[in-house]
Amino acid sequence: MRIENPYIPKLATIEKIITETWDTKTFRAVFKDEELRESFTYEPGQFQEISVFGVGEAPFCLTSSPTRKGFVEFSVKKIGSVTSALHEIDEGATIGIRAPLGNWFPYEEFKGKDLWFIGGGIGMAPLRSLLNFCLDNRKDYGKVNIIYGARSSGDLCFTYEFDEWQNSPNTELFLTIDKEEEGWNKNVGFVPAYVMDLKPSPKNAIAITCGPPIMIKFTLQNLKELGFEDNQIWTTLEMKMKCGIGKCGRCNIGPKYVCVDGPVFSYAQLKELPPEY
Amino acid sequence: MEAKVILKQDLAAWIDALVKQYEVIAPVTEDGVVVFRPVSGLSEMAIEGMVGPAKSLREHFTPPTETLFDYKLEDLSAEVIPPENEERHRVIFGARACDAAALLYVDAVYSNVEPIDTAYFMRREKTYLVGLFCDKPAWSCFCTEVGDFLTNPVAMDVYLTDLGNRYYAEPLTPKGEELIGLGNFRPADENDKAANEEIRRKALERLPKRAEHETACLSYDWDHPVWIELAKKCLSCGACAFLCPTCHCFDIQEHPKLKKGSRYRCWDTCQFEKFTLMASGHNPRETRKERTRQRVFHKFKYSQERYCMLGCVGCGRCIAACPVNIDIRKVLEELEKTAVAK
Ligand SMILES: Cc1cc2nc3c(=O)[nH]c(=O)nc-3n(C[C@H](O)[C@H](O)[C@H](O)COP(=O)(O)OP(=O)(O)OC[C@H]3O[C@@H](n4cnc5c(N)ncnc54)[C@H](O)[C@@H]3O)c2cc1C
Ligand code: SF4
Ligand code: SF4
Ligand code: FES
Repeated sequence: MRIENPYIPKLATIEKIITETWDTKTFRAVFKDEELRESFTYEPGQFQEISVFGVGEAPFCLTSSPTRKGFVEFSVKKIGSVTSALHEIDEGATIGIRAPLGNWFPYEEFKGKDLWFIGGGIGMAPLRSLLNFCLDNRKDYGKVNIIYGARSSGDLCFTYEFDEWQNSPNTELFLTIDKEEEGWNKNVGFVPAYVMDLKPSPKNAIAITCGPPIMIKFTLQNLKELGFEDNQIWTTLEMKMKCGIGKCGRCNIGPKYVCVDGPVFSYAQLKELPPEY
Repeated sequence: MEAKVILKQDLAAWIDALVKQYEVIAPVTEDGVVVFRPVSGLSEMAIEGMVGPAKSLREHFTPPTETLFDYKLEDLSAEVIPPENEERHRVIFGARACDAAALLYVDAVYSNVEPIDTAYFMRREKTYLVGLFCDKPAWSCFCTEVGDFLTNPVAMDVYLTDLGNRYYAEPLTPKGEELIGLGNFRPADENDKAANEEIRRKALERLPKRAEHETACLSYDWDHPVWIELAKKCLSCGACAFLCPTCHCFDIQEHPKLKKGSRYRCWDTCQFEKFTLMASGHNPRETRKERTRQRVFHKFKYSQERYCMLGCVGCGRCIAACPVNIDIRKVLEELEKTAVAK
């Protein structure tokens, strides 16, 4: 036989479950096959197809950084059948993983530049992979800025890493929530508006954004207004996916398949595509 | 490779010889329509004077439902069991040139990026195609508008033409020569060659001439009024897509069993509303306007941009089957009118 059946997932054990918010959990999984556990690697921005046997399969970003070896992590917002099944399983359960899939952030091109991570809600998941990757390779990058917003303080994910992010050299974390809340002493307001307040300079900088479509849309507009060029802005797209390997024909935007040509696109690349996302 | 001829009286013996070594799939009449099914001899076959088969070869390469794997669950562990591979080689007898050409397109889709689709290519490699020249095109056929594979066949091992009392046989691959070697063939003479040419010429006369779909399509208009017209008529029934030999989209589903079960894929189409509906409720192709545009653009624009070939082989099945008489040729004409005018 030449190569393996690409639809068959590799078995993995859920080692740890972190409750992020009322509707989001982060899962840490380790491959059962020891050799694979050692050799498996991926790039920040790639995704995986996660199987819950008996329920189905769904795509999730790899939210862990490839600099931290031996496991993979993904964060899941409960929304339908597979996501609900994942929310019900316990540590020790067996799942299936097909990974790594899709393209990734061109972090080599980002070297020496200031980075602006702009995330909304669960949209922080793919950014966290690149963020921790950059922090683990700190000397390669300029100032790292993180703008992270959610509906309320209870909707922020990865709060347990905030200290690590803030305390990294030359790194700043800007938090925002949609509405006033008792005890909240950070910014209040939508992410795109906060971007305008903070006025990131486009000079030698890259902006990387992910969140709900409406947040991405206004963030892109505001970044343009601040003078960011199309190739200085990066995002990761979501389309309905099944196969994840460019075969089922589901996730196309024009001639591109988001599962293999994406999910990471620059704003310059997005503008080449028909407006169908 | 040298062209050969077999007398019709020797055909049954050739088919018998093929059946001994291979599974032979050939056109048969089922409920009044021609479909490709496994046969055990010539008497079951409907190749004489065959007009366009109702279904293409698609189901023999990508079955309507196909198990991807089975699984067994035990407490916290799981076992995944891959399906067994089909061992026997197959001959598809009497394939149309359009349907063979469609395979090249599906090949491109399933191998365009790694990993390739192993189940599909396993079947593809184990299948040899004996094509049959189409001398009675249906009213809906327009293969000559989208390619020249009718007279320059692709993806076949042998190409047959019915010369009345005998078949003209062109071996196109070494495997095709082997297949011919199993029958009582003689070398074709000048007479046979002239008769073959004549039949091809006549068929080409009956078919529409090559149009400029390829270039015109690339300048198609995203907001063309034809999309609104299509949206008004189309029922989203998906018949066009399910009969199309180049359509390949699928869904992945699971039998909802707890301790053991299987994951399978099944045909799906961009004409269905849920095709792109996301869990968040967002749907990038919410209305029929976007979905009909996707189908036409996918065949005539995106396929060229991605695979450097058209995603339509002009078999006309979508035209013949559409319950509200949507005709893809007319859609193209509409688009081309404005593309030229621009
Ligand atoms: C590249 C990529 C990366 C992603 N990364 C993440 C991530 O990191 N974290 C994350 O949480 N999500 C992520 N997602 C989204 C995630 O894949 C989806 O939330 C997930 O697929 C939902 O699967 P499900 O089986 O739970 O939902 P499903 O059960 O498939 O669908 C749920 C929703 O679909 C609709 N629906 C389903 N069936 C019907 C029906 N019969 N009638 C009407 N409506 C219906 C409903 O609106 C329902 O709420 C990502 C998606 C992609 C493409
Ligand atoms: S689009 Fe219509 S005419 Fe073209 S290959 Fe498909 S079914 Fe045949
Ligand atoms: S067969 Fe006709 S009505 Fe049905 S989906 Fe296709 S175009 Fe629409
Ligand atoms: S998910 Fe199947 S083609 Fe992209």
